[in-house]
Amino acid sequence: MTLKTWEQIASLIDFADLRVDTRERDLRLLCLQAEKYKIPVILVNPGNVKLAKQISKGMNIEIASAVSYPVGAYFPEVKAQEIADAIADGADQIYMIMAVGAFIDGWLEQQTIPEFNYLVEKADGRPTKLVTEVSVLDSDQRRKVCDLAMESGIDFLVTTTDFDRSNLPQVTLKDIEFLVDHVQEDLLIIHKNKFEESKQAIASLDAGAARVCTENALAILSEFEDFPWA
Amino acid sequence: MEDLRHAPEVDAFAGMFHYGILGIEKTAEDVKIGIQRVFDSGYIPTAVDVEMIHAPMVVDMLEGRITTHTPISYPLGNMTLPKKLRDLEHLIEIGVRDSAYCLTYRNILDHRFDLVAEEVKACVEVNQDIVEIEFNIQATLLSDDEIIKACQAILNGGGKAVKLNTGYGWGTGPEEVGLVRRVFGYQLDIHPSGNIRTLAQVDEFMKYDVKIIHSMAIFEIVEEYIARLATERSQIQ
Repeated sequence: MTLKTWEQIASLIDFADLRVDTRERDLRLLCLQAEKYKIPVILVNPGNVKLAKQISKGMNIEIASAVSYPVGAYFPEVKAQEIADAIADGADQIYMIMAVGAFIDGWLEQQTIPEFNYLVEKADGRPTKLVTEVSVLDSDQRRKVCDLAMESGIDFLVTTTDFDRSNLPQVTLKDIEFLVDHVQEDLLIIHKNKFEESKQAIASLDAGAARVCTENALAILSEFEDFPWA
Repeated sequence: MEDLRHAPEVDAFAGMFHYGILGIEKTAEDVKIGIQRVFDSGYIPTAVDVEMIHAPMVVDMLEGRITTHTPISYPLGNMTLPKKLRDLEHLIEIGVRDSAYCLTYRNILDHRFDLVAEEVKACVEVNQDIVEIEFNIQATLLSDDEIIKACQAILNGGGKAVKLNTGYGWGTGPEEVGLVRRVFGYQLDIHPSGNIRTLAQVDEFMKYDVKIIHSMAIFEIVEEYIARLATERSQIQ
């Protein structure tokens, strides 16, 4: 992939603010920056969806809700209701954190498959982005998550919550390549990371990720010489 | 040498703790191992803290001998109020009788303490005193003034206990505990949490007469306590 301009990479970013201490002014800034710098999607916590939707009225951005973030350890029915709430509050896209521990336990019938299916059903045609924790899964488990996600009709697989306080290992470029090799184009990969430099984000896209998700979108874009700060 | 493992003061000390088995990657197997460790120790902590998905299994395993604790909107507090209240109703149905309710921190940071009190009140009304609830603020991220106003809002809404941090790297310091104790006396139970790994830390909190402490390092801390008790007794003899 050849990315030459900041606009090209901006179009591939989901701009996240999932901090514990996000205030109203932060949401206003997130929306304004996304609009100004042509970032099409912002990702916020469920409690902030309604306010973000109000703030972004008339702007050309979509609001994604991070359902069950960051732990994901909720029953499928609980997640289904949370997705319905997010859509009622105005969410245009759904990120849903899967119950990773339950998947590792092999709770496929009672947890993993129903929650994947609910994601697609309740999103009702909106883009669906399933968040896993690639770094704690072995190769077979990674393939299985991808296969189940594809069977459910999920659009995107997100590599990690990138919740920095969980102290999980970082996702590597090889991890991304592994996933892309398995799913080809039947499931699109989003790599979530803090990306301190644009070259890290570009490397993820070069490894096959379809999009990146980050809190640091401006740090990435501003490295381009023609980036219009003003 | 006297075996102090179950001396009355050791059992009482261990009983102050919430033992946390929480996290994104935690499996049912991890939880079972953690609970077996509690059983093997013979200690009866205040509660075992687990995620909602594990709560039914843990309620069954603990058979009422130890309380099951499951947090709500943990750790970020940024889920919607309807979702939080539904989760509380669900926990009541499951049989969970202890919870940390993570308040919407945006309301605290935006100084909407009226909304904080409303959220507490809504929770208290749904709860009907069935579950022991501590209201969670992220004291580490707040000024002293914000901590005081948040605690006042908890009281105004009918809350009885405050948990000062969620863990996950946000940890309580004795200065925060001291602040709340000085201002509110015994109107609010104070529950320190987050990065509590040593007996020295616990000692600092106990100066402010806290009676509940959240830690994933209960066994290590109790071992330190036993070692200190043994030293003290040997010096007396």
